[in-house]
Amino acid sequence: MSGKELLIEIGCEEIPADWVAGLAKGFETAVAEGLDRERLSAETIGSCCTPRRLVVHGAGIPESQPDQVREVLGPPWRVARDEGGRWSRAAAGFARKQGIEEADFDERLQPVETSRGQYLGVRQVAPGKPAIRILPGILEDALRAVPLPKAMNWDASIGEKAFAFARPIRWIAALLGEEVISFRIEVNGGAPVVAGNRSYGHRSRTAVDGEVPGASFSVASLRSLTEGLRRRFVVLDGEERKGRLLEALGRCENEAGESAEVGDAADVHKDLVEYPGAVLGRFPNEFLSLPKEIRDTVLIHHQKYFPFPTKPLFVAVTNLPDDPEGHVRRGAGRVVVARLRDARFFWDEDRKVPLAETRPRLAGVVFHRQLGSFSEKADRMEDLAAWIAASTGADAAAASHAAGLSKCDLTGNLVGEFASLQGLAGGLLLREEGVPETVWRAVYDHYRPAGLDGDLPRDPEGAAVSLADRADTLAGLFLAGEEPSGSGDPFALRRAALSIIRVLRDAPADYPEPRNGWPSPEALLNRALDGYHPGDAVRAVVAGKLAAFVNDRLPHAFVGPSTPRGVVNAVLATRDWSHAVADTWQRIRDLATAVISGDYATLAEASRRVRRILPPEIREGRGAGLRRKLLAEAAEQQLCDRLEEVEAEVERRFAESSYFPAFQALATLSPSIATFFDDVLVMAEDPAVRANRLALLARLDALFSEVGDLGQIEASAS
Amino acid sequence: MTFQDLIARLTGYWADQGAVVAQPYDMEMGAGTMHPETFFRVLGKTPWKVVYVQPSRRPADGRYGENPNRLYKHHQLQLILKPSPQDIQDLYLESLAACGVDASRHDLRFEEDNWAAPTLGAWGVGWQVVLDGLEISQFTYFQQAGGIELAPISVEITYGLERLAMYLQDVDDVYDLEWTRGVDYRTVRLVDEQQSSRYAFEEADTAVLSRNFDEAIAEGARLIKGGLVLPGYEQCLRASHLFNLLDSRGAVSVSDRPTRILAVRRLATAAANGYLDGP
Repeated sequence: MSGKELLIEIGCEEIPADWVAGLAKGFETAVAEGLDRERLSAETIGSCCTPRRLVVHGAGIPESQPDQVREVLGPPWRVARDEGGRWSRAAAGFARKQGIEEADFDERLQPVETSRGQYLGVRQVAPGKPAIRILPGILEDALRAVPLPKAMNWDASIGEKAFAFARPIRWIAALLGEEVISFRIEVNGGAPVVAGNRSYGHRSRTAVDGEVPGASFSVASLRSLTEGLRRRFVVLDGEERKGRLLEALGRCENEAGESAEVGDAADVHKDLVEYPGAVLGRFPNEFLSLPKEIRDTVLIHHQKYFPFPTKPLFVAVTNLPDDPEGHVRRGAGRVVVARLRDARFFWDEDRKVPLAETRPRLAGVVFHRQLGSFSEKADRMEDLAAWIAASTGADAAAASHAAGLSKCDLTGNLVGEFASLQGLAGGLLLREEGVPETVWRAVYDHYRPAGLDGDLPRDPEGAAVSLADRADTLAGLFLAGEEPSGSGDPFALRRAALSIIRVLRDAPADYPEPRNGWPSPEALLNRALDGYHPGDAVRAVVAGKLAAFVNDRLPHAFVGPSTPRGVVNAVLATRDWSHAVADTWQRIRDLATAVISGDYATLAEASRRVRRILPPEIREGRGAGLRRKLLAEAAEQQLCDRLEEVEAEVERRFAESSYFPAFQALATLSPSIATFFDDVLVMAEDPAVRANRLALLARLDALFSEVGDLGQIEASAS
Repeated sequence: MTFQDLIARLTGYWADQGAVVAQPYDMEMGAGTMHPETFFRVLGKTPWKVVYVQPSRRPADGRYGENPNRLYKHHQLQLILKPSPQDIQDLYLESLAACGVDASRHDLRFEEDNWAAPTLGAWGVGWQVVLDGLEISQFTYFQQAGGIELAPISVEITYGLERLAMYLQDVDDVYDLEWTRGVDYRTVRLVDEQQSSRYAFEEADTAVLSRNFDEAIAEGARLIKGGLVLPGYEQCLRASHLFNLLDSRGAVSVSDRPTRILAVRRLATAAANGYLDGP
């Protein structure tokens, strides 16, 4: 590999853990773009990071830009020479301006052909600049281009221009080969941060003999940086940190004799530390009587520790390889006990009064200033949940009971302290009181699902409360004129709509009993609007907005790896919020499967073609005037026969909601359709024959329309 | 290390760094940030270094002296350095070392924690400093105060003194802290906690508090308008504390809340602007 190695380390005060990786990637991209722009492209480029540093490294950077040759045009060629054949004054003036001596005129002045005719021109060679002189500019542009979730001012500037960053930058190592890139950040009222060839390791640990922790050391390359850091308790590579973290966690799990509940938290934790370790902490057995949800909230959300399924233990990730004196283990244990003690205090306080008796307090909690309090919301949800449950055949009384109590925990101590426990807290309190399982679980689950992801409520009654809550919120906030605009969605209404669609999509499959229908989004939201008693005119406007809002979100709930966009669009051409979501979903999945096995490319093409040919009024006739005896050619007769068979089959299958066989049957039309278009001239001279052929196509189109708009299916999907 | 030794060590450390040692402000407040030595000094261009202890009242956190971790009134040691020195994190770690915390034996983290005080029109970015899982300090680069963009940027470090002392003394109950040799925290503070909690949760007359709040807002606005910025700001402090008392009594309705917060913020903003306009 030719060229030089580029190494840039931006040393920062601790960058927020969930930004680190994104910032490093953004910095790498910006540096790469800068190099490309300056014709100094790296052969390879990469990045790595810890909470205290963003590192970009490149290999094969050219030592200087290639020379740039360009043609500079002067006056038209016809005025370049005077009558005596010598260079004219115009030509000489131009040449001198280009820095050409008179002696060189004949050699350097040349005619150049352009689209506007012949011109006098010179070839100028701009010699490429050395990379080391270009890099400061690239570095500045790249630092300014790093996308920051939130920028902070720290009295810094580059050049004359103020410079904000994620956190203050404290050192910069910047090398091209062995040469330091000349770069500095001015700090108002302090010394500038000047790029050099030194880095810093862990603040308080080092394995280098005779070196004070936190002292700087010199670097010459990515390799020497990586190794220098490793000896100073910093692992530069994020994946390696994650690996070490999981190893340390594994040792704790061995000691505990149980697996910790980690989820995907290791990904965030690896960017909270530079040298991960883990310690096993313990809390007294007495706290095992506290509901696990509450314990876990303390451990996970407040302390970022990992809980265990049954044992009074937890794992704390540390920024140290070890804990020889047990300081960390004891300290973490003490904090956890204090927190758990607080949580138990709140839990005990909340249990003193039955949840139902706290319901009047909801009158003091505003839902929305135009829409009243949560007390009124709970009243509306009772009715709505009962209606939903009744229409599906679930336990309407239980759903209504749960809906009425679902918001009571908002005034309790637990939710006041741990907001993420809303719903769960109410459910747990009701469980303690001994209310029926259907009721407490419906309260516990009613914030599920969070949009398109996550579990549904465990029971249909819980789904009814979840739907009632979201539908009431959507209807109310649209009535209050709070519909989302652009990127602004402060009430998370998009997610509310997706949650509704998701529940209605999956409910029939998730809850095999009862078997009655779940409402369409339209029916649900209209019922929710009823709860607010709007005037007719307002109601019509808001219902229209809700229809558009929900219809816009439907594709999000359907497009997936096995249900391509074209298939979804094909079905949604004739299905919207007024239809049962689960049924639409069944059609989409069945069509996607049929498209894989059957010849839908021909059908899609035919559908597009037929719609191009057919005048609207004939299309609307759906082939009503088709006369069999006017079908003269074999191909059209055959298509007609096959069409009748398939129509009957599709009708029969649709009647039993068994879409896949219907879609398969449809695909069997492909050969007949292909032959028809090959053999038959639709636009026959005889008007009666032509009209009849168009009627045949209209009938075909009518059958296609039963499925949707087949023309939307992409060729690649078939 | 006793509680008062801790205060002396930290104060002494920052005094050695050139900070003015100020005294607690002689009014009720929820946090050391509200002390005029912070609120006004971070405004404008004049460099400043100051350190002080501020007893901080949070009526809603009162627990009648029965909770080992929560207090109606706790103590913050507050530091402001303007502009912020480039080695501020190292200086901070040294200050802990001065109290006997050997960072190489402990897990010490700077975890993102941005700070905002809506009533002061102030916000900043920074961290909570976590020592073996315990939050011991708030570390903030002020970006705005009194609704005004700041330059130069001040750094504010707030040490939670009770927590840090509990850690250093290895006690689980704040009342067991040794204030000085032979005198515990209980002896110095318990009665205050019991009576203040009873006052905040049971006895405070909300009608009086509400009236006092309105009076403080009006009086503060009048004073600031007349150029008496500091006395006007003191009324803002009063109003803020009265709001917290009302809140702990559950006497701030949801619709009331934004209105009252806005009233306090207006006063704080007016005071900040008045300070910058003044001599």
